[in-house]
Amino acid sequence: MHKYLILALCNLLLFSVAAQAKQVTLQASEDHVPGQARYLDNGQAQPAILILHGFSATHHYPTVQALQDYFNLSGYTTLAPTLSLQIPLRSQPVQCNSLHTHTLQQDIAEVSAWIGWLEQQGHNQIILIGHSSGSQTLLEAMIPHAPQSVKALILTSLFYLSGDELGSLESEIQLAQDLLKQGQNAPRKFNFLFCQSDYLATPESYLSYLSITRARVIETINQLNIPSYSLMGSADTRYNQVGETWLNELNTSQTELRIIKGANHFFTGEHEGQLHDQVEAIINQIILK
Amino acid sequence: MKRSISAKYVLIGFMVVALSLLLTANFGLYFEGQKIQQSVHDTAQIEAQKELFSAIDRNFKSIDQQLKKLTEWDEVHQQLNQSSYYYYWRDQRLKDSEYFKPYYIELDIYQADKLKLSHLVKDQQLAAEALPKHLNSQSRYFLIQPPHHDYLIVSHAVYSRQDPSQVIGHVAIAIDFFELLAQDNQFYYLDFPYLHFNRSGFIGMHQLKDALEYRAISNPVSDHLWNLIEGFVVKFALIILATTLIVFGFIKLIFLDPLQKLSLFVKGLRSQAHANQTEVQASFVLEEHQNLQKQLSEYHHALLDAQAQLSQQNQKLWQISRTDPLTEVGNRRAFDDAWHALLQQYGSQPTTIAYMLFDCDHFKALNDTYGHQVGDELIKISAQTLQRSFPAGQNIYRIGGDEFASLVVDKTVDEVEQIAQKALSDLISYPFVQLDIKEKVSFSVGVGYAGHNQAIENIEVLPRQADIAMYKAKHSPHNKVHFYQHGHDTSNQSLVSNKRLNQVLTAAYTGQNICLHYQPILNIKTQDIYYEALVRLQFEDETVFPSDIFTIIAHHRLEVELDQQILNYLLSQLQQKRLPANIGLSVNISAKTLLQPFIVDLFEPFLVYLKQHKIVIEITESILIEHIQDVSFVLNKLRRQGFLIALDDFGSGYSSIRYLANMPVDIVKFDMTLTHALNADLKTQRLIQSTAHMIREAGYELVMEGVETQQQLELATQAGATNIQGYYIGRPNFKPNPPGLVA
Repeated sequence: MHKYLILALCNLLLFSVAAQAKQVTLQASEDHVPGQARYLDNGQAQPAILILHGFSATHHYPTVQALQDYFNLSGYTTLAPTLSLQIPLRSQPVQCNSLHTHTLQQDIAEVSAWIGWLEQQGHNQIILIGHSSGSQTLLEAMIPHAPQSVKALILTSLFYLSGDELGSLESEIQLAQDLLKQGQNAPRKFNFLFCQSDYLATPESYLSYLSITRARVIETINQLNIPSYSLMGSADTRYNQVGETWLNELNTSQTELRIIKGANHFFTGEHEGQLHDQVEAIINQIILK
Repeated sequence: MKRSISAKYVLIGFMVVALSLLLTANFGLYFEGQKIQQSVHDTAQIEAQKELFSAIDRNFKSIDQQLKKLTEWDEVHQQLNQSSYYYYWRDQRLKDSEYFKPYYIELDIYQADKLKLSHLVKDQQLAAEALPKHLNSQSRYFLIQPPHHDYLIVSHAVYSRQDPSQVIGHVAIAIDFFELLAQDNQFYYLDFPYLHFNRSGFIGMHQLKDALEYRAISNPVSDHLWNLIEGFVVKFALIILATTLIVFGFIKLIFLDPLQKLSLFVKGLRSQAHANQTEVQASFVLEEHQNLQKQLSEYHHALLDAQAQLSQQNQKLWQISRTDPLTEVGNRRAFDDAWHALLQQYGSQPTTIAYMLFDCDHFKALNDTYGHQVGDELIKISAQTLQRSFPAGQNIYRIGGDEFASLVVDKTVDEVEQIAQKALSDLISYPFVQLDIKEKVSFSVGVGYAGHNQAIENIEVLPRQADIAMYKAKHSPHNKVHFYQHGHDTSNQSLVSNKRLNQVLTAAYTGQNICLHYQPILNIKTQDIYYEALVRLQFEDETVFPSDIFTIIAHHRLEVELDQQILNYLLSQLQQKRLPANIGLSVNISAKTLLQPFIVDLFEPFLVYLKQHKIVIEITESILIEHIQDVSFVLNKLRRQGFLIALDDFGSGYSSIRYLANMPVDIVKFDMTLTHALNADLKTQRLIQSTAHMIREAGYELVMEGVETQQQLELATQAGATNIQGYYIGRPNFKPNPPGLVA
């Protein structure tokens, strides 16, 4: 508790020196719609931290924003982009029944563009932090090679997107694949993660994310050429679907697994601080290396 | 007399007025209630209007906010950026989103050129659409498509997130306007189900107020209250009418009908009283009315009895009032009635009329001499004698103390004279000695007579003519029945001459034209002379003599005024010394003047002349006899002052010897009838001489008037007269000339 009080006081002291938030936009390419990000520039003395939100969320998501604010106060330059999901300057979370035409590849491209943008801002040491599906996207974006400026990848609440245990239907996948083969990419409702029966997406979009399977995640971790750290909440309800063996699998992978006891998928409540402490400890560890 | 109004009409009027007032008040209440109801309705209408348009404003703001959120919605921007799957998104996402409200009929996105986005989607069968293919310039308007489609169409531009000045599209919503209002509002005043548009098609916002038909919701409490008031007003009006009818019926039954019945009953009583019919009794509800009718009947009978008694009493009183109680013959009133009746009858039945007057000569003296009982008895006997003497059916009336009258019709002059003579004969032949009256009682009769076909004026003067005739009879020693003749008019013209009347009255009131003629009175022994001043009215062309003067004066009761004028004239003569020095004067004073309280004062101015002049005041014996007590005091006072009193015309009337001893006079003047009687029989001559002797013995001077011859002078001297007066000594002259005899 004393630790948090000191942290709060430090935050207050640093508040006056913390960078002011700036909204920046970026179009990954002409095929992409512009996206936007919250950028807090504290110079290049410390590694810049890029924080990516989870599925359907934005950089305003509390878990993401709290991390950005924390590390902003800690003196890090932070960038929290919002994946456009093919919505120009998207600022609102998308719903299951929103029209999903975006693809994992587009997301990866946008992530890469934001890393490039940071590099253009003079940051040659970048630490990536992902939350939930944001972790998967960052993981995919680092394959086959992570940019040189990216020094480490911190993955929080890392899971996967496709699997029978997650409700994925082989028949749907097959149908989507068939439709796509037939050149019919008209949106329809699929079962996807928690969007059971109402995930309105084009087959292309749907199938692009289904590529992130349980094995694919472990595989990409193991393929990383930069250190990766995984922070998992022990009380995440996803274990109901994926089983706690997922932690074992992670633990046996090349990522450094850290488990915050009692934390849920979003590290809310008292576990938010623990998340910050753990992430900061990891960053300090990375810096010391 | 103020005209009275029937009780029935008063009651009807009262009921009508009362009913009108009550109904007016009732309907006034109704109309006031109606006003309040209207006021409540108006207020509710205003509140409903406020409520409606407040709700519309509020909803418009809400819609605006919703539109703004829509334009900022990521997915709208997504569709404007890539509309390939717009139809899927619109149908499968949009309507399930929080942005699509239940009252939205349609929400659509338009391109920047205002073309509907859905129209770009190929091969899609579009359902019936509320929103137009192209947006128009109105950002808010109504589209009314009866019977069920009342759309509010709103739209808002969508701006680019990268370049906010750039319009990249539009969002438009078709809203079920009434569902929108119903969704977000609760109306307390507005009758929401009634709300509708009064026109169809396109309605701009500026037309909204006129296009909306609305009304206030009916207030159940107010409506119920108003129903109660209306019911009350109707019931109250019916109650008033019923009550009025009941009250009217009750008053009619209890008061009006009985009043009319009683009125008819009283009317019947009055008619029955004249017709001697039996009364018809009415029946009444109230015992009191029955009793009242009974009491009225009893009262009516009592009134009839009293009326009968009164009638009898009136008859009796009428009889008494017209009957002389002493003589039991008709009195003056009865005579006047008979006379006026005769005058009225004369117009239609002209006949001869004799107006007869009977008078007892010297009755006053007889009454005083023998007492009232004897006098009354004399009158009674006179009346009875006259009644017996007159033909049967001919009435006698006592019209004065000793004066009787009778009206004899349809008789000739001779017949009337026979009646008069017979009556007079019966009267004077009556043995009045039975009443211890020693002297002979005489009567005078005056008759005014008018023949047939006379003008009524000639009839009306009969009383005066009878008076004149009576006067003549009185002054005639032998002819005691006098018929009025026209010759009498000459001697009494003063009674009918207006000119003479004016002359005499003017003289009496102003003293104009009065003059005195002086007739000498000679003292036989001393040859001294004094003069009796005799009044005349002197005009340029004529002289009016005492006979005319005193007739008028007596008729108009102006004796006092004339005496005052005469004394004034005499005084002025003395004052102006127009009379010889030391001349003795004698002046006549009427009985009426002598009775005036200022009689002594009248002679006061003469006191200064008593030293040089002998002044004699002559009075008539009648005043002395009738008012001996009253005048004795005055006369004695005058005598003490130095005046001499002379008793004039002694013997012309009734001269009672018993007065002689105590008369407050100094001189007794024998009337000329006594002087002339000295030439009559020896008995009369001796009686006069004895009387003269007694007078002389009593100490009085004795003046004999009417001495016109030497023989009369000698007889007078022989009889004992101390003074003589007459034409033989000297006629009256306007200057006091000494007597020729002496001269």
